[in-house]
Formats: sequence, structure tokens, C-alpha cells
Amino acid sequence: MSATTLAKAPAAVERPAPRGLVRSVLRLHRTALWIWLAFVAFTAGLLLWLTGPGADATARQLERFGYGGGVMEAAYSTDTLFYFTSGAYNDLFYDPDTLITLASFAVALFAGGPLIARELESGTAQLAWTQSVSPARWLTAKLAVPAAFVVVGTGLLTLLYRQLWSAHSNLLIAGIGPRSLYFSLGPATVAAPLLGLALGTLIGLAVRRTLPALAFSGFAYFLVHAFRGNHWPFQGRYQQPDLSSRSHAITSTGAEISDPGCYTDKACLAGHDVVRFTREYLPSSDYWPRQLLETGVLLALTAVAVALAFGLLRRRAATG
Amino acid sequence: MSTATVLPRGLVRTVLRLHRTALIVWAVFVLGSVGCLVWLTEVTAASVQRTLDACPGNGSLCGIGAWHSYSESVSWISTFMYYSYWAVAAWAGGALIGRELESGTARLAWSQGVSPARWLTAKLALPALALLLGGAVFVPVYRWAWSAHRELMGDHLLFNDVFADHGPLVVAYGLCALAVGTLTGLLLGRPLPALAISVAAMTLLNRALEQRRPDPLPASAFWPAHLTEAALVLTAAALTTTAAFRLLHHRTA
Amino acid sequence: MSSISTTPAVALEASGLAKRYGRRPAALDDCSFRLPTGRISALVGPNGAGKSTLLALAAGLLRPTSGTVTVLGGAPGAARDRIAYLAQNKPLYPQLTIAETLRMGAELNPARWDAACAARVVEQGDLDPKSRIRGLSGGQRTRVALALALGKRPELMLLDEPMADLDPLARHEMMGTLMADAAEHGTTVLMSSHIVAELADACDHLLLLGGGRVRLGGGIDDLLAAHTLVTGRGTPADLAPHTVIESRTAGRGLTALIRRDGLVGEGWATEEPSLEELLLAHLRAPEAPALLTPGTTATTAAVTA
Repeated sequence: MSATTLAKAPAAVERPAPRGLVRSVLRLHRTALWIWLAFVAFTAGLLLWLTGPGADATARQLERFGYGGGVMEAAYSTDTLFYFTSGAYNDLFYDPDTLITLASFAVALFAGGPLIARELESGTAQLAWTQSVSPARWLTAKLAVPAAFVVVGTGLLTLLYRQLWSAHSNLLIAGIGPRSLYFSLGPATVAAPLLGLALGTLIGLAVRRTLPALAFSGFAYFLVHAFRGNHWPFQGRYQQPDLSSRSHAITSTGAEISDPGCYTDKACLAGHDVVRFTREYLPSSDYWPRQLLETGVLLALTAVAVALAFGLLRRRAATG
Repeated sequence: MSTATVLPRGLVRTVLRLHRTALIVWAVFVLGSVGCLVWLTEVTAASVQRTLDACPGNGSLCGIGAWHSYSESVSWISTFMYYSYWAVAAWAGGALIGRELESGTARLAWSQGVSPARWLTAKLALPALALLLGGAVFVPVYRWAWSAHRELMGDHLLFNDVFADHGPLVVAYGLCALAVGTLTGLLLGRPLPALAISVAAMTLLNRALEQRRPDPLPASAFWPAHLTEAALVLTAAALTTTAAFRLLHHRTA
Repeated sequence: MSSISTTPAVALEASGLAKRYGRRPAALDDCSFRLPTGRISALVGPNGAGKSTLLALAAGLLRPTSGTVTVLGGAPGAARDRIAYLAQNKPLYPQLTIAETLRMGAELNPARWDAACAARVVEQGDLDPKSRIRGLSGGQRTRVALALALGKRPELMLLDEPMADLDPLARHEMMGTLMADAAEHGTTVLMSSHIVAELADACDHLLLLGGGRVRLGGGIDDLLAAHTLVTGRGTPADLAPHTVIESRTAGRGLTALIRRDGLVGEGWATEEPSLEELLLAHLRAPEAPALLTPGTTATTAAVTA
């Protein structure tokens, strides 16, 4: 099909310009849009800082004193930066994850409340449907525009986070923290808020009242969150496997020896001829199977929720 | 002045009728939590103990699933109760105040022979009473359940939720959330922004106070630390409530 | 205390009343007038003239930026139980049933509530008391809101476009109920509306707001009698010393609404304007000087019975 036939197609004339519809959705929800952009910008800035200058001091500690004397010491030397964090690199490393989780909850709440239910409650949805926009196209725009922002925003943050992980995960205290972060970061980080968006929309359409829809959406996303953390009873067998790390002390001859256990005792380190330390988390072969399975389940549920939402709307709009 | 003149019975009944759903949800939540705690302590713990007793006495992972399900459930209940202040803040900013101002039903009440100050008193006093009653039921049961099977639990008195749920602090957070939600609702007059901002403000306050909790704590120092934080939270609640009444007085005749 | 002092002859008095919302132009600006007791007054004005603000100030729902408003002899907040107020959007609690809504009225106005009266207003609309407010149409909601307003047996009713979404039959019938009730109990009514025919039938008093002030105030008969509609050949200048509110050329002649000062000269045909003509002329001519008939002028001195 050539460009000229496309331009002449009558469908292009009859349908309201989708660009206008997209623009009106953006204009309606500009506060939410600005908040989302601010969140993405701030979190991306934090991730970049953690990848770059933020890691320097702790990385030097690791290199000089190893895991026990460097990483552990740095993690527990708390100097309060601002209230959300002790300022220790080990704590700051998880803050983007907290922010992404909160933002995912916010997406579900936004979808249930302002995006859908408030419009139905106040009657502005019907206003849109009388502006030569069919209900189905209205809902498509309402879903597609936020979904695009969610995918681009969380996708970008996830990439930056993976980069941060490969650069500096060796500065994290071993335990459940690095393990659950490692296994949760990936395509599923993007799919989860999409499911939140779809569930919020479905609930908004079903409940049609802002505040109850908000409460139900929050609860629904809590269930999704519990699924991602393997908290559902049936998930007991799918707990994340251990994540192994490898540490070495390196002598002046370049030989790799095990940590002599000197902590910050320089004389002791000199006695063992240790010049620096290295440490890394080893990639797990379980990572991609787990991520792809989780993403698949989340996207399938998203598709079901979207289909139900359109079905519900069609039934409503036909009768009303 | 007796309570009857401050809060006429008709006003009390009206406020109860308006917010009965929230009241029922709160009652179900508190009683459900308490019921779960009793069940976990009296029934589940014994069966977990039996499973563990049947295990061979070397450090194998036998019985860890049963142990995990018990401690996890108790932890969830205490976490939910601790963060119930989020729901309270959201509800107060949204349904209690913000929605009434936006839709004009607050004005409807004020033109029914109820002064705005009395209306606000009733709107604050009844939920506050519900929060107090809920705390009075939950806290003793939780303290009992928490200390019943320490060997099956992996938590510590200094965990944020455990620390607060052990006394009046958890109620103080609820009351403060009520006051903060009310003030933001009055300030903004729109439910959704009021809801978002009151939750954010309460979270900030909560995180700020969590930061100043002591790290290693001897058992004898628990109560001073707990009560100091409760006093701070209640002071914040009192200041916010005063500000809310001032604001309302300034706006209406 | 004598019965005269408890029933002041002035139901509502505003003096230098002003209300600003933030930095926007004042909604009301130096507004002064008196509304005598027992009058049924229309509150008229273009959109944004401050009608809703004035009604909310009188009901004690807003605090004035400056100036005072006295309601039933005291501050508006002190007379809450004797005032009924009906907001423009007729807010009601959607989660309550009609019966629960009326019970709320009874519980919040224990001393004055007339359950039979409120129930009658609802019954006239064939409404089931068990149905929820959420499911009612706009007109049905208005009916419940009016039942709530009438049920408290107010001495002063402040109604903001009360009949706006009622069907013509219901409107006629509700207006009848309202007027009969007001006549029977001597209730003072101040109601805003854009429907002049409705006002002309029901009201005996008029307040016209414009630019945040009262432009016309007084008994409708007095105001109509003070104005004359003249037709003839000439220019507006020929009509001095009368105040010309509005004039327009009709064919080779001139039609003008004037405020008479003495007799109208030879060569002009005169007739008394209708209420609609009076209002339209004043709405089209916002610069016309204000006119308040003697009983309607606000006084700073104490009210004499």
C-alpha cells in the first residue's frame, strides 16, 4: 500500500485524529505525567550517581580491606544523609528498588482512581464519548498512553539498575537483599506496573466510584506484589536460589589467596603481602528462566485484565 | 460542658451512618487480625512444634517450611497493623473530609443546624474512638502472641513494626494520620490530592521517627524509647488538629 | 423579652460585604442591602455576579473578606438552625437512602424538624424512601434536597437555583408547595434563578446583583413603578432629566427604559415595563446607577421594629 492510498482512505477522515485523543489524555492527566517524569528523572539520577561517583569511597574500601574490613565496615558506618537512608552505600543501593515499587503501586492506584473511576463518577467519560470518540477508542487511549510512559520509564530504570548491578553489586552485604534484588530486576520489573495499570482500569470500570476503586486497586496490586515476592502459599517451592559470590585477596606477585581476615589492620595485611581485594557475585543460570516465567505470567494476567475491561465497557456502553 | 452538648446524639448517629463501611472494614480488620493471632498461637504453633520434634536432631532443614509459615504469618499481621496508618491517612484525607468538601455535602451538614466546628469534632472524635478501641484490643493480644513462641520466630523487638505494635505507639500513628488527613483534606478540598499528600506526609514523619530509634536496645530501655516516640507523634497529632480547627474557623462564619 | 424583638423586621442585612477568593477579582464587593422579613425575594444577576457567594455568606458557610452580614438579628453562624440553605448542585450523601437522609435532617435539627412536611414533599414525587440517593435522577435529588430544607421549618430559606433541574410539572408543583409553606409560616425566602417567569409569579421582592454589588433592590411593584418604558421620536438627550437605563432605535423612533424624575414630556408614549423588560434592560446596561427602594437600603444604625 502506498502513502497516497493511505492518505485517501476514507477511514482516516471519519475517525477522529488519534493524535488529538492522545493529546487530550495527556492534557487531562498532566499532573500525573509530571509526577511520573520527576520520579523517572530522580531515580535515574540516583542510579547514575550510584554507578559513578557514589560508589567510589566504598569501592576503595573494598579494594583495600576486602569484604569484612571494607564492605561490612562501610555498610554500618551510618551517617544520616536524609531520613530515608542511613547514607551507607549498601542502603542507598536498594533505594531505587523501593522507589520503583512505590511507583508501581502508584500506577495501579492512578489507573483505578483518576484515570477511570473519577471520569465515570463525574460523567466526564460520557462527555468524551459524545465528542465523536467511541468508548472503546477512549479506553484504548486511556490505557495506551500511560502504558507507553510506564514501559519507557521503568524500562530505562531497569536497564540502568542492571548496569549498576554489574558495576557495583560487589559492594553489597551478602544475604537476602542482593539475592532478591538480582532475581527481581528484569523484564518483570516492567511487566508488573503494566499489570497494575490493567487491574486498576478493570476495577475502575467495574466499581465506577473513585475512592472505593482506589482501595480495591491498592489491594489488587498488593496481591501482585506478594506474587513477585513469592509470598503466595502455593509459591513456597519457588523460592529464589542462593546467589554465590567470590572474594579474593591479591598479593604483590599477583597471586590470588583467600581473605586473611585482617579487617582494617594494615600491618596484618602487609604481613600477608596483600595489595588489594576483589569480589563479585556470580551470575545464576536460574535468572532468565525465573524472569521469563514471571514476566509471562504477569503479561498473561495483564492481557486477561485488559480483555475483561473492554468486555465490561462494551456491555456498559451498549446498554447506556 | 458535658459530652452531650459537645456532640449531640443525632450528629453522632449521622456520622456513624455516613462512615459505616469504613467502620465495618476497620472492625473486621482488627478482629480478623486478633483471631488469626490466637489461632496461630494456640493451634498452628503446636503443630509446627510437633513437626519440628519429629525431625532428626541435626541441623538439617527439616521442618523449615512449617516454621516459616508460622513466623511469616505473625509478621504479616504486625506489618499490616503498623502500616494501617496509611489507610487511615488516605481515608481521612479522601472520604472523611476531601470528598465532603468537593461534593458540597459538608455545606449540607453545616446548614442543618450543626456548626462547622461541631461537625469536625464529630468527624474526628468517632474515628479516633474506633482507633483507640482497635488498639486496645489488638496490642494486648499481639504482645501475648509475640512472646508465646519466641523459638519459632525470627524477628526482634526492634523491628519497626514489632517495636510500634508493642504499645500505644501504633495507636498514636493512627491518630496522627487521622489528624493529618483531616488537615490536608480541609486545605485542598479535593479527595485525591489530599489522600496522596496525607499519605506522603505521614510516611515522611514515620521514617523520620524510625531513624531516631536507638539501634542496640536493652529491654529496660524499650518503654522510654517507645513512649517518647508516642508522645512526639501525639504532639504532632494535636498540633495538626489545632491547625485544622483554626483553618475551618477562618473559612466559615 | 417581647415577641417583637425575637422577630426582627429585617431578615437579612448586608453592609459593605466583600468576598475575595485568592487573587481573583472580588466575587462580592461593597455589597449593602436589607431584606425585610416575610418577603419572597428573587436574586438575579448575570453568571458570575456573586449570587452563590452571597447565599453562602448568608448561610454562614463562608467568612466574608470584609463587611458584615446579619441574619435574623444575629451572626449567620448563630442562626444555623433557623436557616435552610439549598446549594446549586444539590449535594446529598450518595450512600444514604432517602429515608436515611430525612432521618439525618431530623437528627441534626431535633428542635424544629417536621417529619410530616418532609415526607409529604418526597411522597409527591412518587419516590420510594428506601431508594438510595446515588440512583436518583437530578430532579429527584432536588426534590429530596427541598424536603430536607422544608423539613427543618426555617425562618429564612436561601435557595440557589432551586428548581433548575425539575420538569415543568414538578417545578410548578414544588414552587406551589414552597410558596404555600412560606405564606403559612411567614418564611422569608431569597432564591436565585434565571427563569424570570418563575420569579415574576412567585416573588414580591427583587435583588439584582452585578459587579459584586446590588444594582436594584426593593419590592417588585415599587421598582416597576419607578421605571417607565417610553416610545417616541427623539434622541436619548431629549429624555433629560430622567435617567435613561437603556435606549434603542426602533424604526424612525426611540424606545427607552427610564427611571422617571417628574413627568415625562409631550410626544412620548409611556407604559409600565414588565419584570422581564426591567431585568433585561438592567442586565444590558451594567453602568446604570443603582436603585434601592427605602426599605431595602442598609443602615448601620440599630434596626427599628
